[in-house]
Amino acid sequence: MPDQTPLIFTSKGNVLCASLAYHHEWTVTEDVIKFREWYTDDAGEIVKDSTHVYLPKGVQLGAVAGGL
Amino acid sequence: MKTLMQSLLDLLWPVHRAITRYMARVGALCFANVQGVATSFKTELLNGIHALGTTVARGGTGADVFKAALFLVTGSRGAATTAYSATDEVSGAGYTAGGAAFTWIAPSATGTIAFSTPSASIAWTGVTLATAFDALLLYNSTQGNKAVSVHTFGSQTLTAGNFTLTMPANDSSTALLKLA
Repeated sequence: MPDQTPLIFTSKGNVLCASLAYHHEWTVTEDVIKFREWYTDDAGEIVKDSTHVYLPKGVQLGAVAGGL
Repeated sequence: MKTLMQSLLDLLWPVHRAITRYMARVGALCFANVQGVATSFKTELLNGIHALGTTVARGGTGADVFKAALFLVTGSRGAATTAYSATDEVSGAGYTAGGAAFTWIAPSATGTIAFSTPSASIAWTGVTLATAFDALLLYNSTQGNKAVSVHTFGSQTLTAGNFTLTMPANDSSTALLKLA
């Protein structure tokens, strides 16, 4: 029977998921919605840190026909 | 002395005139000449159809190759940026200088606004970027790395993690690139 203990890739290689603490936070502004999730080890060091950004709107150019 | 009906018409006339002008402006009425930039022209600009000045010789009719690159918070990318440069670009495991290629949804228009958005999220996986970054530069890799737009999203770092930029809905109010 293979070992089914879940691992996670970190800055210290693959480690046991259960050995890490999970943290996350949301940042919501008018221009961006950001979700950050990170893992720390027993020493409190961040060993995995990911961010996912949603851009709710883009940029706009104006085109104006000048008068004669 | 005005009749009640005349007074009512006087009251409603400015409203009627404003509505008529608006409908003419958005193309809902055809009996008035209205100054404006053709909406079709805006879409065609995004498709590279018009050249009001000196242009480039193209090798084909396909879309150019566009790329997205990340920049440090100490950088100075903005509206004045004319082309991609590696100065102040992020560096670290899992990130290749120059950034990642992406494609645009075919430009289209709604009302008087032409628009387009990258066809998928732009993402990096298993990347470590230890120095804070906060900006994305979209640029045309085919045409001398000329700049398209800069988007900021707040300072952050990454450690053996993933970074995903999810695009807005591709419509006239939220598309990533709009020509109004």
